[in-house]
Amino acid sequence: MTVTSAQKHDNFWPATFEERGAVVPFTTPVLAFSRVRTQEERGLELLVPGLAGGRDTYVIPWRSLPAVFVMTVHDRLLREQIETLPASTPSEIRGAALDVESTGLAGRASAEAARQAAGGDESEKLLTNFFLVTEAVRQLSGGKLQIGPADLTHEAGRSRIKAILSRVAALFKLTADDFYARLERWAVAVAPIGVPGLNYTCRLRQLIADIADYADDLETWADRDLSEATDSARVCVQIAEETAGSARTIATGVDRYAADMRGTLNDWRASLERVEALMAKLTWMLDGWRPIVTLWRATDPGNREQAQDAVGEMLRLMPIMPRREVGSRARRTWGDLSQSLQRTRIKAHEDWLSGKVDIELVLRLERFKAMGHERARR
Amino acid sequence: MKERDDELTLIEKRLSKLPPSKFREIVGVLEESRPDFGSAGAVEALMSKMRPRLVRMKLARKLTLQRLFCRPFEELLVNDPEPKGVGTRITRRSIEPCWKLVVDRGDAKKLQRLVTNLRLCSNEETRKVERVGRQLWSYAAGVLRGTLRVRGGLPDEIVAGMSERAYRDILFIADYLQIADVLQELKRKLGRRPLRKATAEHIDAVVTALEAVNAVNREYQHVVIDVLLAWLKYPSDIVGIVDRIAAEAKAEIDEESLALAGEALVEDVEEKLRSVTGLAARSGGERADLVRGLRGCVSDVIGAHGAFQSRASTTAMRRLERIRGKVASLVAEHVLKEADIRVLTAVPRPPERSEAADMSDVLPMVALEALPDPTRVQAAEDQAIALRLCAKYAEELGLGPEFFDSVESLGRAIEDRARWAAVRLDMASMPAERREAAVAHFYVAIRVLELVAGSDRADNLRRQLMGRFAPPAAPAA
Repeated sequence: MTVTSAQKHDNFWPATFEERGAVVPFTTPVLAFSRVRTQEERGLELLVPGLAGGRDTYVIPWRSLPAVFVMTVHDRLLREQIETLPASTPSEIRGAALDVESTGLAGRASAEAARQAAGGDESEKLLTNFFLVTEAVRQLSGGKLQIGPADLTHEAGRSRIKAILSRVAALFKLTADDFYARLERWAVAVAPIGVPGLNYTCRLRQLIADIADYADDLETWADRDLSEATDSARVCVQIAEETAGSARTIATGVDRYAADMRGTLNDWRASLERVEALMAKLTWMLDGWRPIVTLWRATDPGNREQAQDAVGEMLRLMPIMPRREVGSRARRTWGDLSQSLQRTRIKAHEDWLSGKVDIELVLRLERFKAMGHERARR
Repeated sequence: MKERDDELTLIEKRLSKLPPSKFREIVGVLEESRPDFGSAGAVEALMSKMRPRLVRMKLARKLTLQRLFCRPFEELLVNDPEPKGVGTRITRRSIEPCWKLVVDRGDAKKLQRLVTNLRLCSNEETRKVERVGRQLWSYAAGVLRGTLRVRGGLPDEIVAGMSERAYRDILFIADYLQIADVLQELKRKLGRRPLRKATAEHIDAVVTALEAVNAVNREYQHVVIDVLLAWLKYPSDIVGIVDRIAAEAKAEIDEESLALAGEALVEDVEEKLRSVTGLAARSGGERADLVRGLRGCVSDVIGAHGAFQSRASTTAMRRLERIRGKVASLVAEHVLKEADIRVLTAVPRPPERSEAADMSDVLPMVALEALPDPTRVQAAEDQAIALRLCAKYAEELGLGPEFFDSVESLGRAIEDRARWAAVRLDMASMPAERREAAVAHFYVAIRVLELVAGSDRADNLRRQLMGRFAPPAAPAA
C-alpha cells in the first residue's frame, strides 16, 4: 500500500481538540476509528493511528483517500458527505454518519440502529426542552406555578401554559414566544447530556457513566491477567478515569446553569455562550469513547486471547486529551499518559492493517456500529 | 431425581444473582464442608452448578488433595461427557470415579499424611505445594497401575457402574501420572496457553520431555503429543512440530507418535465435518451457522494440507482429500446453488418477455413504491455474505470457476436490474414518500452488489444512480 503525500507523526500528542480531529466511523478496516480534522492550508485530512502496525499516526489528505485505500461504499459516501459539512466537529460528523448509516449501506442492523439513534436525539431535545420549561416556571414563580405534560393534551391546558409563560417571560421583559425560543435554544445546546432531574439519561451522560464502568471492568480484568497486555490495560484504565473525571466536571458546570435559571436568563447571551462552549468541549472530550466502550463490552473477558487483542486495539484508539485543553496540573498527568501510551502500544491485530477490505472485519465493524447506537439509546 | 435437578436449577439461578462478595462467602463455606478426600454428594452437586461463575470470577479456591491430583492434567479436562476434537481430552465426570479408585485402593494413612502436608502450605507457597503434588502423583500412579494390572483390566466390582468413557479416562490418567513431573516441567517451559508459534526453545523443551518420558516408558510419548495439542492455538502446527523434532532428535520420537499427531488432526477435521453435515441436514433458511462451520472446515483442511505437504503420509492425505471433496459438495449445495434466486429477490425485477406488454413495465415499478421487505433484504444479504466468505476458499475447494461465474452473473444481474429501474423512474416528479422508498431499493441493490462483487463495482453503480436521487435520502423506518 502506498500512502501518497502522507505525513507521519511520531509520539503524536495534539495541542487542541481540533488538531486531534473527530472520529469518523468508517467501516473499511484499515480506516476504522481514524480521525478527520481541518487544516487551514491543507483542508480536510485523515489521521490514521498505527497504520503500518507501528506507533506512528499517519496524516492522509482527505481527497486522496479513494486513491490510496479500497474503501467500502458506505465510507465513500460518508467521505463525500463530510466534505460538504460546514465544520468537521464530532456533532457534525455524527449527523452525517447517522444519515449515511440509515441508507443501509452498512447493513440492516446498523441502519435500524442509526434511525433509532436519530430518533433518540430528537427525544432528548424534546424532553430537555419540556423539562427546562417546567423548571423555569417552577423556579421563577418560587414554586407557586407548575405545568405538566397533561396540560399539553388539551386546548385549555395549552392556553394555561401560554398565560403562565407570558407571566414568567415578563420578568425578563420578553414575550412568551421569545422566552420559549431561549429555552428551546438552551435545550438544543444541552440535550446530549440533558438536565439534572430529567427522568431520562441522555446520550453523553450515559457515555460518561459507561466510561467509568469501563475503567472499573478493565481494571478488574487487568488484575487477573498477567501478560504484556496488563500494562496496556492499566494505561487505558487511567485514561478512562481521567476522561470520565474531567467530563463529569464539565457536565456539572453545564448543570449549574439549570440550577440557577434566573441568573442564566438574566445574563442570557453570556450564559448561552458559556454553555455552548462547555458542551462543545464535552463533545470533543468524549469523542471516540463509544466505540472503545462497545469494543470492550463485546469482548468476553474470560477469553484471554480475545481480551488481550481487544486491549491492543483499544490502546491504538485511546483518545488522549490535547495539551492545551487541560490545566497546568492535569497537563503533567496527561503528558505522562501520552508517553505511557506510546511506550506500551502493542501490535494491533494484523488483519486490521492488511489494507484489504476483509469482509469479515467489515461485518464486525458494522456490528459495532449498531451496538454503539444501542448502548447510546439506554 | 428430577425434583433434585429442579431444585439445583433453582439454586443455580439464585446463586447467579448473588453479589460477588456473598458468592465468595458461600464458596468458602462449601469448600470447608467438603471432606478432604472422597466426595460429598450434595455439596459436589452444588459446586458443579457454581462452576461456571467460579471460572468467570477466577476465584482462588481452596486447594484440596483431589484438586492437586488433577493439576497435572487440568488443561485436558473438559465439561463435555464425550469429549471430541483434536487430541485426548478427559471429561470432568471421570474425575470422581478415578479419585475414588485412588482413595479406596490407596493407603488411607499415606493419603492423610499428604492432606496434612498440603494443609501446611499456603496458596502462595507454590514450590511446597508442587512437592506434595509430586508425592501424590507418583503415589496415585502406583495405586492406579496396581489396580489396573489385575488380569487385563479393572476388577468387576470396580468396573460395575462405571462408564466406558470413565474407564478409558482412568487408563489415560494412569499413564499421565507416571510422567506427571516431566509434563509439569514441559508445561512451564511452553508458557501460557495458547501457544501461537513454537520457537526453538519450545522444541528443545519437548525434546527434553521426550527424553525423560522415554527413560520411563516410550509408550507414553502419546501423552506429550496430547499436552502439545492442548497448548497449540493452531492444532495443525503439531505436524510441523513433530517433524522438526524428528529432524533434530530422531531417536527420541517413534514413528507411532509421528503418525498419531497426523491422525489426531485428520480426526478433528472429520469430526467437524460431521457436525457441519448434520447442520446442513437440519438447516432451513438459516445459513449463518452452516457457512461459519463450512469455513472452519475449509480453513482446517487447508491448514492440515499445508502441514502434510512435507510428509509422506498417503493415508492422511487421502483422508484429507475425501474431506475436501465433501466440504466442496456442501458448499456447492448450500452456498452456490440457487444463490442468484436468494440474492436477486431483494432487487427490482425487469419483466419477462412473455409478460403482457401493457403490464410489463408497471408491475416492477409498483413494487418500488413500497419500502423494501426487511425479511427479503436480510435473506439476500445473508446469502451474499455466505457467497463472499466461501469465495475466499473457492480455489482450494476446486470451485474457482463456479464461484467466478456465480459472482459475475449475479453482479451483472444486480447492475442491470438497478439501471433498468432507474431509467424508468421519474424521481423528480415523485412525492417524497415514494422517492424515499425507491431510493431505499437502490441502496439495497448497491449494498448487495458490494457484498457479492466488491466495493469498486458497487460504487460505480452508486455513482450512476446518484444523478437520479439526492444522496443520502434516509429511508423511513
